[in-house]
Amino acid sequence: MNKKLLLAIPIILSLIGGLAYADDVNVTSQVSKSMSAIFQYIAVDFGTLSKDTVSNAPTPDNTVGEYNVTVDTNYEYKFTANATDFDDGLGHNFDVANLQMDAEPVAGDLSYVGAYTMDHSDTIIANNLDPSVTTLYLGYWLSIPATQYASSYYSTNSCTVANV
Amino acid sequence: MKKILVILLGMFVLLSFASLVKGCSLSAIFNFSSVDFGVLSENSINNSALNLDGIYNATIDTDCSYQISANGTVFDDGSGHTFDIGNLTMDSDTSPINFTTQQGNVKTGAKSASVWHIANTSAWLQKDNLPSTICNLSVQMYGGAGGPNTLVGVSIDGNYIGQIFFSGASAYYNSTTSSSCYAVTDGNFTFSLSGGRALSDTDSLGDFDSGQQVYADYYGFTYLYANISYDYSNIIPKVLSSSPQIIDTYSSSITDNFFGFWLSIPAMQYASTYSSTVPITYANV
Repeated sequence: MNKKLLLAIPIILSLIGGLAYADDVNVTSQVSKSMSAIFQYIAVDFGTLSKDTVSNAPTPDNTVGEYNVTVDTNYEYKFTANATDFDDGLGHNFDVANLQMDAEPVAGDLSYVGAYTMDHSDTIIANNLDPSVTTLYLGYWLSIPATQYASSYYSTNSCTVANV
Repeated sequence: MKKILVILLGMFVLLSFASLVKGCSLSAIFNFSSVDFGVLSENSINNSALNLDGIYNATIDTDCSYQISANGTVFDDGSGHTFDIGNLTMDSDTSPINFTTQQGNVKTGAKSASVWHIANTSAWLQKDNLPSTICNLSVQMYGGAGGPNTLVGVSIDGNYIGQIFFSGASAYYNSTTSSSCYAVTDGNFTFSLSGGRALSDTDSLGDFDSGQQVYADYYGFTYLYANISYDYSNIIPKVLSSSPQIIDTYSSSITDNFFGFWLSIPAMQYASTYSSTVPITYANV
């Protein structure tokens, strides 16, 4: 008898009380990558250099932070660069491999030791940079071959900032 | 012992009868289990899911009024990146078509002499065409004031929208816009003006339903034009949070509920795939 009574009570209560139904909905979205980069310099001038010298820094010096790019992105990114051979327009030139580049979130960390030798094709200078790095500093070093003809030489340096 | 048994049996019958009379039954069949917004851009607002397709719906069978409530978890990519559930809004309606947002009619009117009124040349918003919600109301006025500088206040159904400034006697153009949404509860709304110079009660009101014109008797203007535009929608989405909140309440005769979802992505939100769990609950009220 007691067992039947105990069984009856919850049935009655469930009939009196309000009912509720619930379901879990999974809401998903993929946020796309976005990127903007503003280069804060347009030229790097090494001034007057002597032949047969290595790893000359430009003026102003790299560690001042003169050469930098402002990056606004929501994903990891990389910095790549290539360059043309140095040419004076009068038939004299020297190889782009004499130019080295480095990229660091802190200008003071730029170092010739960690720099990359430039090539006609893209070289990754910095990779997997965190999106919190919104200013990337670039460093340049130039070596002059031993018998290089005295003249003014130019190279076009193409830099790319892109999400990885 | 037998007496007690009879009494208990009697109580059981009574309670069962009471439950049949006063109790509510409810069943809800969810016809969807996920909402995929696809690929969205950071710093974008109110991206719509496939709301108009009507694929997010539930079938209800109940004999009492009921309410829908929902909450949600933080959007998470499982790799340490998140954004707040408050970026997700949702609403329900009896038809998915009501999730559309449209640009409202633009009303244009012109004044002659000292009485300005919006002419009947354009199709006036009729009562049965009125949406239940009007947002982003914009009122533009162009006129030449015969008197000194004047401020004109603009209201819709008593909700103050803003003021429009007219300077001097030369032709002047200005406008005011409100990004708020206003509920249209009775199928019509009233556009009214008030301002630096007194407008009579009768002349400063125009009822879009009955009068089908808006006019204001204002001697200071030699001429005046007005454009009224708005966005309208039948929805005011509810911002979700971690705790349940009521989305809508329906009578038992409403057996099909359609859901709409909108998602905003914060600026510079890390590019990844995010998910949130949104429990939707039906309960009798």
